[in-house]
Amino acid sequence: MNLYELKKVKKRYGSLLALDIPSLTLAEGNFYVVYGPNGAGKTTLLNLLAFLDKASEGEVLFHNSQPDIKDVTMVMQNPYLFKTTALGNVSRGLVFRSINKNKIEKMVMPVMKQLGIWEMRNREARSLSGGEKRRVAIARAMVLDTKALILDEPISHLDNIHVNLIENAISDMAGNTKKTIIMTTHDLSKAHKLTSNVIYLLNGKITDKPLWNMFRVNLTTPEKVPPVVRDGAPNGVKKAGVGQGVEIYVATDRTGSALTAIDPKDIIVSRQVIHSSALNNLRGRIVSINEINGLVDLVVDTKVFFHAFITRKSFSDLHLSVGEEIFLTFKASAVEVF
Amino acid sequence: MEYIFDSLKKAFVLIGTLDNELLRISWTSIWITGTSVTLATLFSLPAAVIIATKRFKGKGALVTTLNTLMALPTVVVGLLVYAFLYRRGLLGNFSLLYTPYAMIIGQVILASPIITALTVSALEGADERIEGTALTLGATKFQALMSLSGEVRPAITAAVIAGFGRIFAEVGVSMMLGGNIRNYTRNITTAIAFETARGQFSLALALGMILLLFAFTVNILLQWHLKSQSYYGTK
Repeated sequence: MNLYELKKVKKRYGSLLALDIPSLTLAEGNFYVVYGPNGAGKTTLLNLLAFLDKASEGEVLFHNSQPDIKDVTMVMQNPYLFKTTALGNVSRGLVFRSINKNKIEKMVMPVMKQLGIWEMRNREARSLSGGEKRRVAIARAMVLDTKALILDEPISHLDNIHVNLIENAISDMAGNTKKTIIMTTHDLSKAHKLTSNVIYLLNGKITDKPLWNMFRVNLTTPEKVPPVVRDGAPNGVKKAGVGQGVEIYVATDRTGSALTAIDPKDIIVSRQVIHSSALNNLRGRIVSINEINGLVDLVVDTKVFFHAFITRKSFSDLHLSVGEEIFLTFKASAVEVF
Repeated sequence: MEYIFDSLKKAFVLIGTLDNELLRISWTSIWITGTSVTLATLFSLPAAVIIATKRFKGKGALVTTLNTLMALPTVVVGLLVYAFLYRRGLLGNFSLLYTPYAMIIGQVILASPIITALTVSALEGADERIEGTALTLGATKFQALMSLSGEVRPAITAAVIAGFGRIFAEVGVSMMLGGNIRNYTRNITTAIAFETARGQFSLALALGMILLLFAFTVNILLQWHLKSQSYYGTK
């Protein structure tokens, strides 16, 4: 059953169209991660889903009807803690619901313990560290019996210990309750680690193209055309610096500023340089190996970081490990330009 | 110099012996100011919340007017209220002039712009996330506004104290609307002016000391009470 249904939703701020979603449904009990670069419209979308803001056009239906704000709770990117204790903060939503004081303590204790903040329950919120404050804000939302829990960048700017604590708590909640959880993140690997329901948002629009290996680039016409281009003579090949002096070729007619993305599945990994029609050959070192949706995600440092997905068989055949030097090869046409 | 010390000594004796006249005058000040500040607060706080949280036409002009009214001279308020309350005035039939009620009306008019303007300023300067956070936790609009007010409690306390200070120490309204009638409308400030004019420095000094002591005590008690309490219980 659908919890949310968005129909022809547009959100404008003055003349700026911040969000344009023709159709989106979010099922009850599922865990969604919204991924997109800064300014993609993630927070705008979350504010609409939390009913903190209204769409300029279109409808946001909740259970096919009008929403009740008590059914949804949201943890903001930079959450505000009330000027009281950690316990007072975590209890606040339950106090709003007029729940008995003795019952409140029984309800908040397990969540606060899970997030490692029970011991600091009597400390003033203002005396807590950034990570502790974030956990208090998350606990405050988790204790509420809402149908949807919305988290805006809950793990950004936190150390690994706090990230793991929060991720585990969210995963537990996603696995053990019927809550629909919607969160945003900047870390695409984390997004895929947490759920298979990743929504890609770019320039206020949902895209089905995976937004991996994203770079903001300046597309220019190369002075020297690479030999393969000269031989094959395709038009519209541009050069783009992706940072640290690393340049890639992009098959596009566009010039100037643009966002580019490369699907990690389109990158060929090899131990030696491959001579082929593919224009992009980068040498790098493996810095991390993860598993994502049954594939092996290699994070490769080529001065800038690239993700490349290979099958377990290829990974095993190539005998790859962290620190090893490899080559990444991909076609100029594999680079999506936005 | 000796005269001042002599007057001071007599003033301490009056306070130490709980002089009847002194107590009567002090009580008049306390109950009239207490009633005035309570009424002004009951009116001003909701008004401030509405002004601070709603968007409406003329809001800027209203805030500017309130800020200007903070400096309203007490005699001007006295004069305006007098014009309404005197026998041939609009409210002359109620025979309120030279009664404590006339003093309360004048003092409420004096304190309200101060409490309202300072509270508006506190609420507008509050963290923008407070109301939204409360709403995401399922607060009703009223609960969200109470949360917002609760978060700026010390600033609201300061606004109420400023309003109290303004009317507890004023003479113009009390004199013009109360008439300084003995055992009825004579309060600390009108009595100080009256006794000084009569050359009774010791009583005037004793009243002055009580005025300071009372203002100090009220300040401490209000700060202590409001800082330790919140809408959602003690901290």
